[in-house]
Amino acid sequence: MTLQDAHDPTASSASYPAHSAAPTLLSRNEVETLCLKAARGAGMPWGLAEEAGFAAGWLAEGGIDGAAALLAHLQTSAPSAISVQDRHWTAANDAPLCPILLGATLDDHAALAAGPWAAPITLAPTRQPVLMVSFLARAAKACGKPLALTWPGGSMVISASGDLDPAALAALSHVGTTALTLSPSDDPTPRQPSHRLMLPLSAGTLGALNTLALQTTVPASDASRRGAGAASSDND
Amino acid sequence: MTNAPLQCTPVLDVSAFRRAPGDVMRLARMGSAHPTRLSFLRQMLRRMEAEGWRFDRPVWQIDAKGVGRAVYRAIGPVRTYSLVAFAHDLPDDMRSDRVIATAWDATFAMFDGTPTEADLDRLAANVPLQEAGRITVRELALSRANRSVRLFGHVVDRLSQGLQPDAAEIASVGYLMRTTAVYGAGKFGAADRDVIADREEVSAPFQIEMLSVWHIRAFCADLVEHLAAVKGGSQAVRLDPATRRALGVGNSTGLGMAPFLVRHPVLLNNWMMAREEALARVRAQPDAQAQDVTALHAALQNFRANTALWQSSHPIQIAKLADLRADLTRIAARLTSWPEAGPTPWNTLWQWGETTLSLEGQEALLSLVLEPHGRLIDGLGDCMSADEAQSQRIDGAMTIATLRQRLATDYGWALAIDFSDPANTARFWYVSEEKLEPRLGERHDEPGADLEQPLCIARLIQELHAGLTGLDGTTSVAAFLMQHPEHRFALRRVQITARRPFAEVRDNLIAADMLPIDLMRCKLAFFGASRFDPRSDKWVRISLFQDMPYPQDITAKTAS
Repeated sequence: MTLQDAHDPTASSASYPAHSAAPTLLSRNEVETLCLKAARGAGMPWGLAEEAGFAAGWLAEGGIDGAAALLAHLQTSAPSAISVQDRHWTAANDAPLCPILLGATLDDHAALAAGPWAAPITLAPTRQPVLMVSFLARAAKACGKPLALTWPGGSMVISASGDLDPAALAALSHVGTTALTLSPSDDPTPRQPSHRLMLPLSAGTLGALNTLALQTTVPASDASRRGAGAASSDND
Repeated sequence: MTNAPLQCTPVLDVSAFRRAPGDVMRLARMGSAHPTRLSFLRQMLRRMEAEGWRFDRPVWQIDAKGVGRAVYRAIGPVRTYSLVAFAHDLPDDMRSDRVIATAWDATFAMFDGTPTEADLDRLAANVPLQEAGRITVRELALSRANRSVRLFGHVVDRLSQGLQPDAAEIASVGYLMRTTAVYGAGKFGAADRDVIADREEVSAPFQIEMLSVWHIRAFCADLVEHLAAVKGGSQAVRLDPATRRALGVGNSTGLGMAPFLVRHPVLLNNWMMAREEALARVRAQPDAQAQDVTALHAALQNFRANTALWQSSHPIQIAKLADLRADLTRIAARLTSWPEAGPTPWNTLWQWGETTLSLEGQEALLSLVLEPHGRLIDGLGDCMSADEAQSQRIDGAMTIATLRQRLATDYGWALAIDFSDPANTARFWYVSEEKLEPRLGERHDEPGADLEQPLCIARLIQELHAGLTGLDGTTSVAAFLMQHPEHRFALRRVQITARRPFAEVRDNLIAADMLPIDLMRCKLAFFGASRFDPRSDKWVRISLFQDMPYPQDITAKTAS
């Protein structure tokens, strides 16, 4: 194995040992890869697990502990489909909505009449709603239209460039589960992109995500050991 | 040609000369790929020569046992990059090329700038540990290498006695050390690709990795001369320039690399498209200038000399090498009467090759005809990198009708595979829990297929296709995915491929007869590797930078 690129989720050494109780600083790529695997290990389909990695990495780069938010979601939530009635989005099984499926689905609807850039929609209680923001920012930037997001006790506007108020994002990151409303915004205020330092992961978060990620791997067998490596000695 | 204007659009109408993606993107052909002048190490050397980069070795603290540290700097017009090398005293029984090894003869980090003593101390505490250590945003790559026990010892012995190494030994191995991993952006705490994405000098793919390997080559040559001097004292001599130049860096590559091209469809498309566009431009040329004909003959001569050095004991490669050598002889014979009078002589030559040569020979001919045409094609190197994040977003407004159309147009090859035949589902890709490395299992004999990695693209596409049954064509993809997130992965690929005809390997990657080394060879050829020597159908050794200049040579007009 050699010369592999950063973005290869099948790459080896996917486990990031926590060297001590001190937080470990991962690169965005590492956060994305680890979270993709953990989400898959927790049972998400591959395509959604990729979105989970994106969400956690986007937040980590914004100074928000997206990996911990994802972990909290993965540990507590059973997957649930989305059901829509009269612009109100709920989980089909009445459980809280999954922020990854919800965020990705909202992004998919960015250019459609059913989406929140066309007219307001309301969201049933959503777990770890901060995870959803990365998708809204991506979509706002792609369609070049701002979006307003409100929840009991807070609000934010995501600008047409996909930027937002870091303080509002931090406030939402402390909300475990909440209902929200999304509306097209006419707020033209440009926002500065916020450049924050990557947030280190706590040993607890890292360990728990590693454990989930390991659930994507296959235990060793004699057959699997035989299939790895060169057929002849390396030491020549 | 780094000063050349961006030439992503053709200068002639070349559309009639393009190869079809359905021909190009087959594993057997990809597994016959050869390096070209668009390969990444060639791009790096051209840039450094054109921009007048300087090179030095500000630190050389290696003791009599060959243990210590060294720094190799590449000083460009804007930035400096430093390879920090740590040389170790490794017992023979600990030497393994597997990615799971825990100790190496030498370990390296590419530092962004010039490292201070404090940086070197920090790196000394982490780089030798490789995966078990942590590096920082100041570092751009992490790598390690093992000695060729046979050649390294021989070269030190001979130089220490005042003699040059045996030419046959040099030719048979070709390198002093082989790298066993070069980790790039964002690994083990290293800087993310975003950090360097807007730096022109490293914007082409894998430039940091290529620079690492190139400096490792210089380090190896310095190390044998150092150890020979320790051993032989005043009697010792240095490598003569020709021998030194004949040494590349070995590279040992296993299954871990094989999924890369499948995981990175946008990059794969851009690499292939640039190469194919280059071929089309050459084929479209109305004439063959005398100097280009001369350059083609020279390129063939070099190619044959290099190919003569390739060795392999693997049955597949022995057959391919025989094909290649026979084809090179045919090409040489054909060139005695080429170019004849007539339009588009390069195309005439190419079409002759397509009907006469094996896949090995055809892909070699591709590399050869590109060689004289730097001014025409080198600008295409600028089109080979990719912002992959941008292609990740799904176009939810696409209708199911359009999706069906795309599947029919771009994935007919996948829909045609009969997955009820056990031979077509014989393998599965997985990650081993024990070693966290990618492996390929036998689905019908081994457990673990429920944990399959999503590299079985054709089958995932068929599942998506089946999932569309009965849907109204006006339904949006967004509405479909809301109910069926399990198809998100495959659907994303369809949308990526819709605008990128070379994004997909058009073969069944879980078939019984699939050869992972085909994927690896294609990628390694884009790096610029030669001397492909498979050690199994999942493991290959290659050489990088063989017969290329060293840093100290680069100020002369050597890179091409």
